[in-house]
Amino acid sequence: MHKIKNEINKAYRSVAEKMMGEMSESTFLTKGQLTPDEFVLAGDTLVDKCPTWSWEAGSESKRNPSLPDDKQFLIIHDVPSRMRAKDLIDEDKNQINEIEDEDGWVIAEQKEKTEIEDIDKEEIKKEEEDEIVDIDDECDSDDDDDDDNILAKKDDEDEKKEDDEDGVVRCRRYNISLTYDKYYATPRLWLQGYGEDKEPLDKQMFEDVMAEHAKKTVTLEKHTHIDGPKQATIHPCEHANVMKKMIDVMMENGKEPTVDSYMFIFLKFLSSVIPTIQYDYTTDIEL
Amino acid sequence: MKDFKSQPLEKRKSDSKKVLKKFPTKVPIICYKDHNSVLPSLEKDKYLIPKSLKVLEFEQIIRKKISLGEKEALAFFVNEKLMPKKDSTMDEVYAQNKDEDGFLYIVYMEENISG
Repeated sequence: MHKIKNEINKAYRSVAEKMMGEMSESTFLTKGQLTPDEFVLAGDTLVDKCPTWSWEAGSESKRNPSLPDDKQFLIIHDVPSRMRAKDLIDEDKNQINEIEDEDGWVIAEQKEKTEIEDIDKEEIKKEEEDEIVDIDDECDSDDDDDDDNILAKKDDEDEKKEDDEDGVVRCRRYNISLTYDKYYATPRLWLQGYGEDKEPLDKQMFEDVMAEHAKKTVTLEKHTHIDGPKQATIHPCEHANVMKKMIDVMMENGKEPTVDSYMFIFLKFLSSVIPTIQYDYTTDIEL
Repeated sequence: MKDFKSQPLEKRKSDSKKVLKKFPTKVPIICYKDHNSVLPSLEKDKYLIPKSLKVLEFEQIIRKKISLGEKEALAFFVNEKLMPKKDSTMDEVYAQNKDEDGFLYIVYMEENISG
């Protein structure tokens, strides 16, 4: 049902997009949206602060004329994803005991964490370092937490696989791109995943999406700028609303939200949809 | 939470000291629902969470407590304004954002990212 609705919506939108004039007036503060120019500005800031992101031109036939030819969409390559989203809430792996003390504190205790940590500390630590370097180095990150990545450690049954000859740890990797969605006037996030065997993933990508979003808001579709297999994309219909909410909070807190920070906030809130795809190396966002 | 913060600062300070001393491997968190949120409230607002726990894991604890369906998304705000990184440890979040009284304040609300 969802699928049919989706298809009809898609058809409607593509007609509407053609008929709609270009958005030129900024609705960033009032609606959480971006004009094409603002998309470019926000993207430039992202690339500037996090050079692992870059602009791309994409397929010539799919070009959006309201964006510069060489700035059609943003992309970051080979983002590691070491575990599946469902493992984050796997009862067996994440068992937490709770007790209540006489002062009304709820005390949470993790079970059997230390054991695993000890066994593989060295090995994982090395992997962690290898991994993070390429993403993190150039990114403005002030917390290179090379220590306790407990989730990764806990998942080490999957981790123990041999390294490739080139020393790169085998795990799923994602190319993440941000396109400009004309209809919703927001960025739209796309995922192209590769398995450990470097083969493109299709439906398996849903395993890296939190259950509350999988298939409902994340669908496989043809990328608007890249030819090739279908990619997973997060439906942008609520993006502007969420951004608007964030902008309101910032203003309530006496901050002046700027288009510059759009992509950072945007990526931050989307990381809750795909928490195991670890692109989130930007610093905490203060609203 | 209003109740919690309405206690005198000195009392809260000494409370946090006491609890930190008693539980050196935990961070003391005061967690409550944002006033705009339509989600259920938590029965308890005082939590002692292992330092090494990730924000995401803490989220799972709260999700369970308010019986959030697996289709619903939850957002956290530290001090009502900061979205912590999901893969930060609670210890990191605490160190950077704890209140002058020694507690870490976290509100939650629904996150309607998707249609």
